[in-house]
Amino acid sequence: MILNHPSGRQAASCCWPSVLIFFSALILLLGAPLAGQSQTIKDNLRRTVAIPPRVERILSLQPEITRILVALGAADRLVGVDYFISRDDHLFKILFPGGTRLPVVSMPDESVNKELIVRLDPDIIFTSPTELQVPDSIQRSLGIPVVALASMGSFEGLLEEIELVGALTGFKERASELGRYFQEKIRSITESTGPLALEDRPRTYLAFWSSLVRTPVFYEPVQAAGGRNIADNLLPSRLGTIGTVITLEQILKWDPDVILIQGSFLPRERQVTVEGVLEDKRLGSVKAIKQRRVHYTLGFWYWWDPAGVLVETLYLARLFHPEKFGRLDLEKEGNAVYKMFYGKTDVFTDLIKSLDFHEWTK
Amino acid sequence: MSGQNNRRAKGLAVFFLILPLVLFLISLSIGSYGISPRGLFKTVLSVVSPALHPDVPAAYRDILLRIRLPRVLLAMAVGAALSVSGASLQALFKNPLVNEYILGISSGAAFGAALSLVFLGRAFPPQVGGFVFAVVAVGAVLLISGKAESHFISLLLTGIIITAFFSALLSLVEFFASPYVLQALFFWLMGSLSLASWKDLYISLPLIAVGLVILYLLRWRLNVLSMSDEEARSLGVNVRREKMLVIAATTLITAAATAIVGIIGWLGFIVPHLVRMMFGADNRRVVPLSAAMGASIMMIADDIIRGLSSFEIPIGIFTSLVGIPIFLVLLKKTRKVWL
Repeated sequence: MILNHPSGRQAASCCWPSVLIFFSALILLLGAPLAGQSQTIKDNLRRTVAIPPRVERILSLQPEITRILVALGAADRLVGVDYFISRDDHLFKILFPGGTRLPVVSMPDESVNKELIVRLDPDIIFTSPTELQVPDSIQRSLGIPVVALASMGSFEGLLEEIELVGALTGFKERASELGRYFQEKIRSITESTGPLALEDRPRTYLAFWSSLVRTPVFYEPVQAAGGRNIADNLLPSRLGTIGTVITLEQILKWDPDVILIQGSFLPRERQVTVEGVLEDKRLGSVKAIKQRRVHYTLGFWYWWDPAGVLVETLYLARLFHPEKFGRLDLEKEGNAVYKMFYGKTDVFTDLIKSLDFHEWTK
Repeated sequence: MSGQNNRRAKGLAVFFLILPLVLFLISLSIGSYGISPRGLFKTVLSVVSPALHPDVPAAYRDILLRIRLPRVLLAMAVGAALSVSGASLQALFKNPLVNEYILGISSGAAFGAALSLVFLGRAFPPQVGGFVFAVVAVGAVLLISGKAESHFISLLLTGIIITAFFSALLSLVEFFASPYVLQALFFWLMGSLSLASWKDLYISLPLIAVGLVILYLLRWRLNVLSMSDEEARSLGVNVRREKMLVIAATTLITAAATAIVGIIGWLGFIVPHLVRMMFGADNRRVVPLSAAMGASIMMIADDIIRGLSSFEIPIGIFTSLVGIPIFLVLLKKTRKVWL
């Protein structure tokens, strides 16, 4: 994946944005769409993919792209989805109820039903870049263009994705509108926090992916909200991902001010809970535990939900800097963000209820 | 000359028996949180008598007592358990290719843990499900192969079939599990000591200790059981009962270890061979030395993970990286494999 840089710990964190920008620019340069002409783009696996001039039938095996397509208004062009979005994504069922009736093409072990793909006859297929062999395998055997994309914890990546998918599907204006909205919201947060010295940014540890010791080495919402991800300097433990597995001792060494636990799962499916972490005696000397600053955040949701990550950044800003965001009505803001992206009312209120995130609305 | 060799072998055996204790102390000083030997010493003293060193940071005590100590003890126990299990089963089956998972323990444990994670959630520790189904898998193997004519060939074949059966069941559970549960399951399957706690030790250590003591007491009988059944019977051994006892004890310790730390491959295969290449095939020596060497290799592998890398690497990778080169060097030197 393009976001991984092998030249050292420091380089890994500081180069991510520049690498992203470089490839984003490449995408735009190569992929400037012209009506009626086929376009060539480079995806996140650095594959050059030729896209047909009109994209009417879309198969999305990447939940983040599926959500973007719905937000763009291209939901009716979806001819098939992956198993996660159809079966396990409790939010997507609210956003796009028709999605559950779409054919499911991929299975939990990442195998893909190629015969079904042929039957669905898509013009383009979206996959995630972590499934390294899948894009080439499908494209080679079926001759259908396959684009591997993911934001990988970066706002730049997400915005480029929205723009690219909008351009490829003919929803360029809507994509620009969503992009502008997203950027304005983030800008308003960073302007409110103002320039922050390093010591004014709460040092934050993120316990993601159902484990206390698995953490992302890059997660922009924390930075944008005026915090600091203390794992930012680490390399991912597997190429093509942004996650690593650390030791419990490392958490004590870091002594974070705040611990955030991925909470996008339904409460009954959570393996790591706020209560469990607060009661974990091994972490008893950690500042975040002593001050009881352990909270749920959304985190990845089989990649991101563009509206969700925006609301999450607002929530984190209030959590990190209550003196500046204390009066923020998160429920109202959250519902407005979801309305902007998906055109539905009270989605965030429903989400809070299903995830048991009542702390978010206090 | 022979006397000199014997003394050398005895000296080496004593060295390997003491090694785990030395490594235990060294391991307590290794970790990403830098604590000097002096700091460690003061921490130990402050635990014994808090008044002696009241200035010791609370983090030092948490790291030493709640993180490093249970982790190192668990590494020792699991290393010893898997190695002794492998050594005993290789002797029992008279087959050098047998490992500790041959009777379906690993796939049974994996299925049990998956089932627990999917249907019972976090309220029920997956280790319990793992242990129960590891025992169920071995029970199924014994039950199915029990009446076959050539019993031990039948046992091995049934073990392979049961392994395949539980692997298929595991795939089925994975298919229906939510992705979040799968994340937790895959982490467990990788095999790791990263979340070792006293609770894990309370569950696994008594079971492992009981199994190890049984196998240690049976070590000379393993020599007899390595002979043909007729020869063993002529020496007054109740072959069937003794074999079942060995299988029960190996199941107990392997299931207890696997349920806590996941599947750690190769250890139970490599270590007994290392011991036999160095000290011969007498199980009176093989059993205790396998325990000592298995514990040592496991601690060294875990020390490498905790000391050298900034992130946790599945320990099975390092047990193989440490064990296999030694195995190959010895194989080349001795030019023989025990049977």
